[in-house]
Amino acid sequence: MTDSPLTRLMRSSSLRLAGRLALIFVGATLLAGVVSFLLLTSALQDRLRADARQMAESLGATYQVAGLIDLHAQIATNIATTRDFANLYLFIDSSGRIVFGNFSVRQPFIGARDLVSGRDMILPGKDAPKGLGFSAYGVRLPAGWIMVARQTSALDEVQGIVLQSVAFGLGLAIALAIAVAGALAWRAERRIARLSEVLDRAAVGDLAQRAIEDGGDDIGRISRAVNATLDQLEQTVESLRQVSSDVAHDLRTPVTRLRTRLEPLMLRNDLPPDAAAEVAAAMDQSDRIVLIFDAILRIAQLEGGDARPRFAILDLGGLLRDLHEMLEPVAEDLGHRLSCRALSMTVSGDRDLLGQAITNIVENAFRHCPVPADIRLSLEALPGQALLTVTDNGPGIPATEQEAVFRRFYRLERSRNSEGSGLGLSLVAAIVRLHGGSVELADAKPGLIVRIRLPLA
Amino acid sequence: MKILLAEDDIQTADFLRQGLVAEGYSVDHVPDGRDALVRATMQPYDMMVIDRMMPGLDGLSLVKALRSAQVKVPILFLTAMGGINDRVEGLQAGADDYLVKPFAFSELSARLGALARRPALLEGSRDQVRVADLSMDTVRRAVTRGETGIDLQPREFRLLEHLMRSAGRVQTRTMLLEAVWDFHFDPNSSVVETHISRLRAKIDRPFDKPLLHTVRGAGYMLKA
Repeated sequence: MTDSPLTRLMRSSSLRLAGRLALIFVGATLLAGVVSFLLLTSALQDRLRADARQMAESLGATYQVAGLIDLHAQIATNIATTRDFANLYLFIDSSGRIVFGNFSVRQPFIGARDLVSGRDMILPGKDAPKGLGFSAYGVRLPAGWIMVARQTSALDEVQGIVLQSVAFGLGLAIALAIAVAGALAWRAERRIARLSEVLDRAAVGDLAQRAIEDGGDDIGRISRAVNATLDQLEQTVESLRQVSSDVAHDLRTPVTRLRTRLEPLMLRNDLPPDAAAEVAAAMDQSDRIVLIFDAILRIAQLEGGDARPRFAILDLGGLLRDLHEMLEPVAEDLGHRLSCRALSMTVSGDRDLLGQAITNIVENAFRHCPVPADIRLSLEALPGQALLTVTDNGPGIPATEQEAVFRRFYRLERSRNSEGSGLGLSLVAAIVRLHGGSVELADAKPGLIVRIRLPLA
Repeated sequence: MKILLAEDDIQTADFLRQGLVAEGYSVDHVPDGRDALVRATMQPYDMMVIDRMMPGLDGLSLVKALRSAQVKVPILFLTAMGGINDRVEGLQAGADDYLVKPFAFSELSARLGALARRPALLEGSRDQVRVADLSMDTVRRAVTRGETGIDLQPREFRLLEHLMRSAGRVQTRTMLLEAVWDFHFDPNSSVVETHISRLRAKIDRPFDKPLLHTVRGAGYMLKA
């Protein structure tokens, strides 16, 4: 989860989709260019052929109306006004002799034909270019043939222009496609990033965040669905909280009364010994009810994320040393050994909640380890996080049950009859989660390792 | 000592009143927050015990209202169990101490004793504290009983200083946890008992007359 935003953008599905669209866009533009190029070429070719035919026929008409002299004059005028072999004219008499013109062919023909200079025809002059393409048309007259040819190299020029404009358009299309794709992907990525942030926050109990809802597209739809789910969840959590606080109110009164009734009896000296023992036992049980009930309510509140606004910057190492100093004599009296190795490092949190979590773990070790146990507290700094470890050399917890012990009221088979509430580790997990950290169990071979990771402040 | 008790549950209130009267307090009870506000502003009380959840006006708003009306009387705030923020909210609203329901009456009584600001049975100045033949120099951090010097760990010193400064008043386990360790949660193991017994081994055992007494069902008290 440490990818840079750019890496994430490059890998995002939206950018891939945009890239694919851009490719299709460019392909379509290219295809359109090729098609228009072909169409334009063939249209121009037809036009040149039609020109040649029309000129040949009009010269034929001149001959029939005005005679050979006028035909001659007309062709001479045309030749004089043409440059660079653009238009060619030729009159051949009935015997096949070239009478006049500005090109020559081996054999007169009738109708349209494509010619290449130097191959099918000869241009006048010593350095006459070869390989030029012409569209020619021949007309048969009683006196001979009229041949007219139009140079098609003008077509090459037009083709070049078309190709240039297609290439330019294509470049523009690619640039535009990349820009649009990038912008779309960036916008989608931003909305997805917000969405995943909202879900991450919800996972640690902050249900107040909402995704960006704009847009009728799929991300907008998912965002709205996520927001609706969060609304529902928030409402459920709120009503759950309401229920637990109602339960608290309704139950604390009878429990308070029970305690206030038992307490004066405890202090009386005139009770028969068996009655006094019963009162003490009843008092014990009522305290246990309170303890369990208090733990349930606390876990519910912690999971609702209620306590986070009270967080302050605190020295976790100092807290651990304080706890060690407080619990060490207790361990000694029980016959255990409790040691502590902790450097100072700061986290954001609630000193009492963290203190309670760590105390719970240490007291679990007191309870479950046979005397004499070696219990070690340690705290080390990892990049960005504090790693707090409580290690004992007691019986440990089987790997198959390590997940389950964090569940409420879950108890290992062997400790089913002991005095614990089955809530200690659930409370630890709830406290650590509230602090944005994680807790895991491992096997110390023999013994139990509890690892708590908390983000450094 | 006149106490105003604002508590909506009549049974609990009756027990509290009986207990407090037996300890020599005079108690006025009101079952809802608005009545409490009216009473508190009409006549002077030495202390108030205010429940968080009440009809009319809830405890938190009541405390805020009293404080903004410049009523400076010590207030003990009663909160529901499980409320993580209740303590902080109560203290921020202006209460002087808090207690989580259900509580032992002895706890309430001990805390009221501390709030009443009755002078502790202690002799000496700020730096020199003395209870019977036990004396403490808080500047030199030295403790002597009679002619004998006593060597204490830092935390034992703090525990003893707290007990000496509140000599003659009962200190409960939770009061000691708060004052000496600054922890507002209840460890299951016998933390306070263990530390008290170590302290006792140093200040009482070698001597004839014990000073650190266990008050059954309540806590501890340092007394001549």
